[in-house]
Amino acid sequence: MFEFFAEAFVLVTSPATLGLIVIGVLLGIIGGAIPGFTVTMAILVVFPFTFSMDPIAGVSLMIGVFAGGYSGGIVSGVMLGIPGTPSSITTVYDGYPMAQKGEPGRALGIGVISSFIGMVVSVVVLVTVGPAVASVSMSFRPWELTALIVFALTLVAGLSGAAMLKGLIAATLGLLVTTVGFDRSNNSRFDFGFNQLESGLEMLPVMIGVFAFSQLMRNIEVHKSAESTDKRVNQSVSIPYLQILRDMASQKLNLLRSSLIGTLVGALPGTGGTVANFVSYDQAKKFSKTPEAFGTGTPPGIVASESSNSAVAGGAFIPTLALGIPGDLPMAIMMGVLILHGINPGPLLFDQNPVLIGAIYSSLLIGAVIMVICQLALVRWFAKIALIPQEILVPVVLVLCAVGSFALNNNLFDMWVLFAFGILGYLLVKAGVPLTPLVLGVVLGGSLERELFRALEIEDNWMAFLTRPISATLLALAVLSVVISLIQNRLIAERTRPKSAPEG
Amino acid sequence: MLTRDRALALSVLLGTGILAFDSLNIREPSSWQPYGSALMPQILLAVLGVLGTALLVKSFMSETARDTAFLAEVVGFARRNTHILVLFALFGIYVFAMPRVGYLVATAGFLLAALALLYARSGRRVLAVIVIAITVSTLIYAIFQYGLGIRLP
Repeated sequence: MFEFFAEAFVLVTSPATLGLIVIGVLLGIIGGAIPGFTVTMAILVVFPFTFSMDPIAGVSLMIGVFAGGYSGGIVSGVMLGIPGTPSSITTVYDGYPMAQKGEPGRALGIGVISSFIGMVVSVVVLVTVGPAVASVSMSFRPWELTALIVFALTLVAGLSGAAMLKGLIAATLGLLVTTVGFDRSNNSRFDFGFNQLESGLEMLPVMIGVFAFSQLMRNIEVHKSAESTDKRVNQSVSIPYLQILRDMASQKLNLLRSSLIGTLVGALPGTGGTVANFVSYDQAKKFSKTPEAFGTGTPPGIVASESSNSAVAGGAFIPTLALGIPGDLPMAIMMGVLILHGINPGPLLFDQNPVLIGAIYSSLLIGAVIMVICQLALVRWFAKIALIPQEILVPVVLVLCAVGSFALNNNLFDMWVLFAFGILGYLLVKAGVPLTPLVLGVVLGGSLERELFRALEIEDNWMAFLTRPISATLLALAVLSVVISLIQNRLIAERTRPKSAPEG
Repeated sequence: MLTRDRALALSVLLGTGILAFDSLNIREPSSWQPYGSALMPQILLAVLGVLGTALLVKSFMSETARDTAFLAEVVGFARRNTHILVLFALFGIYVFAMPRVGYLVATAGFLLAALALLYARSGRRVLAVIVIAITVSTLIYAIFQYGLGIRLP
């Protein structure tokens, strides 16, 4: 493995690829810094620019966006008091108060260094655990893979919010999208007489439409309903390096614990940066000798928040690369990116394309280093960019979405797909339907059908799914995750239900 | 009374019904295939039907005052957010116009219209809108056409 890693490192450190990682990190930080834009959106917008690149260059650029995006939220969180991404909400709790006390540079420095260490820890875990998980999953046959996909979908649907039923509906809709067009027997399905539908719906315009389009429209909606905050950026940000080193030295345990929490949460399907953020912040507060200081601008709060949300990046790659099951929404999109570049994530990838695996590891590590340098050197510019009005940003990004969808196959029909799924995504959001299970369904639908059919072709017996131990366990876990979510939803509903007025 | 969840459940069931009907046209399995191409979609449609029905039933079991004000809420939303509806319409026109007038004219036109709708509230901003629309559309064209070698219409 080491020689492949070394070979990949040489490829990734070529000036051209290194330049792409730098561009990716910069765009990722900008994407994360702009409130409401998110890492996922940055990945979707940048992706079309990789169409003409070779897989390693394209994936390196995307990983740069990924690495930068997870740390970008700290900029607007500290400077404006607005979390750039949902995964940096708890950064605001202590980062903004510290900035208000006149120490924005200290808050940013702590956040950026924590983010870097969190990502490095997660890559170390990814490098050590990833191949082990892949080698275990090499023994998975079509029954186990089918059950694993069903489990991942139910888990994500259950964790996507209080609406379990809606999450399951979204996941099923996503799977249904992948059944449009010719199947592997060359029979067309749901084409309704349109030739364009015979080749199926492309994953990218569907994902951009459902997620990005609806998110952009919501940004405009929120922006219009709230008055402009008209925040000013403090131009005199200086980073007190010695102070930050002292702060970090006193937070070694917090840093390690939060990074490991982030990695673990990232590896679990359906969770992601936001959950990691809150869990590690809560743990840091519980373990702290001064829990009352949390929320007033204390370094441990920023360390816990930023190290955990960046550690999600490496953690989320574990199930994606080793099992072919993405851990969260950005990773589902990343998996789509890999598939569109002709790379099928899963255990076989470690055997078939170890150089690419090495390139992913290397890009993450290099991306983390570049992220620190860019953040510390350019932070005041990022803060300014975070103030770009949504009214300007939204139309421009819509154009990028449209052009990206067209450029995939030079096909105008894909733009109509984008538009139709944009409307669908927006309506689903308005109906309270979570979009993550839908995107995951779109990404995993092809694999689910392929593995299900392979299982049935090998043995025409549905009971085989229940008689094989691993497959049966995974299906039992899928049922369990649905039941637990239903119980949790009921408990939440009972707790939040308004008490009826006393009679008489 | 139509509530948000009921409207969603009915839409899901209607869509499921249409697709289930269409799935009957999918070719039957050949002699060597244990299952045909319709198997997967029909499994998914059955699941969707069950979930839609469950949501419909649930919507009758837990109805709140907010749920019953759904239609009024939709009308209110449309009135408050006409700019979003217009933006959707503008995007539809943009997609329609792209093959007819070409990328540059369609994109510059879309950006002008969308930025005018959302941003241009003063004379100075109108100038900014024109500059942004022309610069962005030309820049994207140059990057794709010359930088990435991808031809735009």
